[in-house]
Amino acid sequence: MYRNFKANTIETSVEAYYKDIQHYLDYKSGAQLLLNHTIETDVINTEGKAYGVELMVKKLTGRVNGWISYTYSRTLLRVQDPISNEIINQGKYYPSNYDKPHDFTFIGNYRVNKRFNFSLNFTYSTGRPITLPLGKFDLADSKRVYYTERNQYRIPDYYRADFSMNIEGNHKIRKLAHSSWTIAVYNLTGRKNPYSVYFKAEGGAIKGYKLSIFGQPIPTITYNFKF
Amino acid sequence: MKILRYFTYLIGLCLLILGSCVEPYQPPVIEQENSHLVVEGFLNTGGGPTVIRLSRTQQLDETGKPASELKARVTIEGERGSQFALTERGNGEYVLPGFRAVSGEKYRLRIKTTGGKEYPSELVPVKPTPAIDAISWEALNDGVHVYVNTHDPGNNTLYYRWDFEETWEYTVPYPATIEYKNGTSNQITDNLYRCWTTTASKNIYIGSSVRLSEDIIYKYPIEFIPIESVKHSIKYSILVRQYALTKEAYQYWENLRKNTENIGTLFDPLPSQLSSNITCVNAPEEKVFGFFSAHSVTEQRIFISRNELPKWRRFTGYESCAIDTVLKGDLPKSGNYSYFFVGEVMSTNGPMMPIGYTKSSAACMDCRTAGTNIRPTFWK
Repeated sequence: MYRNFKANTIETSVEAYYKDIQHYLDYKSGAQLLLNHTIETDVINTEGKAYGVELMVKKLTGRVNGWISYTYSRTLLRVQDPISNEIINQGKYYPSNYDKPHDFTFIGNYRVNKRFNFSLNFTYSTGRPITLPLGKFDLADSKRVYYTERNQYRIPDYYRADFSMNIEGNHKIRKLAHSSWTIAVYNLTGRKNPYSVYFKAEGGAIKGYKLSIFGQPIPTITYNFKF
Repeated sequence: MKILRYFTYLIGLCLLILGSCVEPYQPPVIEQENSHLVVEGFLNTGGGPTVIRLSRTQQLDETGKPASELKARVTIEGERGSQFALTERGNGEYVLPGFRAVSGEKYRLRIKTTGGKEYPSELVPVKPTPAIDAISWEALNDGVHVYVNTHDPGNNTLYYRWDFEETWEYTVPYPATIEYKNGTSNQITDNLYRCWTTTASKNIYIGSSVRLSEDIIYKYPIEFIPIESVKHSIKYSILVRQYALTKEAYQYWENLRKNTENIGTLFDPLPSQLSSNITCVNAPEEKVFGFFSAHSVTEQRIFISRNELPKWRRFTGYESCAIDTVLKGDLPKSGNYSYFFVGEVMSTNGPMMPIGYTKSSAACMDCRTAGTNIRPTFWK
């Protein structure tokens, strides 16, 4: 559904979708994910559904322009295959590996004058699902780990704000090169967004770690020129 | 030069950014996880002792041994009402000596903890375990491969599990002969030269003949001993025990095998849920770990001597042992101490008197540091 306002300077849209998924393959429990020559024996037939709503407001012109979008989307799977000898999560719906329900993006530009503009962008999304190890026990002369049900927990949410400032040189028509300076800060709030979450055994204890890349504000200065 | 200094600052800044990337991640759900009951063991229906071990799960970041479940009441119940109580022998182990199953009867395990909770298992059928036909081995280019061979003429067993115990003989290069204790030296009469080490298998070994037309397990690889292992430096022995499983028990062990201890690598299999045939009556949602089954045990032991193997280079684990000397005058004159020495160093001029001793590290002089000097009863 689309609708434009104020002489087409503001565009809005609302979209909803529903998709029925059949014969989607997911990994069996205990599947060997890497260097597996018989991967076809390690997958399971699942059915699922994907649905969601997308909202967007866009302003393309004017001193203040930009867009805001929000998406709610789910992708859920379940195993209801009578011939399968393995039922993941007792046949209940579970989130697929890339199920991120909330996604929000904001991009805003503000033009102070012809030579100077700011922009701010902001993005948020739910963390992806994870199957967490919960505890451990001793059995058959070894330590064993047990896990939650498939994809029942999520890694921390992703959140990032960036800021940039563009300064253009003089606007003479005849010159060797047209140049501009960009001063920007990536990840303004310095949030340590998870790049990966992993667990490893250290001297008998199993510890969880979160790896984040660019977990600090990264300032940059760029000189651009074109001729 | 100034640029260079800025450059080092810049590198420092980069390292700071990169270094702060990995931080501990402890979701609350892991911290809140309770301790659950773990049941290990099976009903030995062949007349041998039945040992059921009860313990508790641990938090992921805990180290050391898990807690044992003590003072529980553990019973085996027959389908037709018979009951056999197990006696506690410490460490969370409960024992029933010499049980013989009634043919055709199913059995269940029932545990009552001191916490007032009751954990019955499902009724399980008794699976008689066929005898092991042979433990065979062959020396290939990379080492010794040990295999299990078995079959069931009645075609009823189909699912098997094994575990094993390895024992090997070894000697140390510099056995101590003198114990120097509180200023006096004595001859050592104990055998510190020849010892034996025994270890239990750590992995889960399961096999199935379901896809075969006959119930035969041929050359199931149970153990591999590389050439550079110290296990066959003199003589090696392996005792393999065989257990017959039901299909459900086989699936349980297979699941457990896939959930290995090694997590956090790229090669990890996808985690799986562990099912159990033991439930808590008071709280059906409570997790219980372990699977109760009833079967007999068959076992076989073989020996592999060094002279049966190809002319491989021999590894003893003591290659880095070296001899050192210590002068008598450097030893403390008093105090409570005791040293082991390999031999005496005699003076070359004057009277024949020991002026010092030869020594090596404790591991090179005393084989008991890595095993026992008591010859195992089965050793031949």
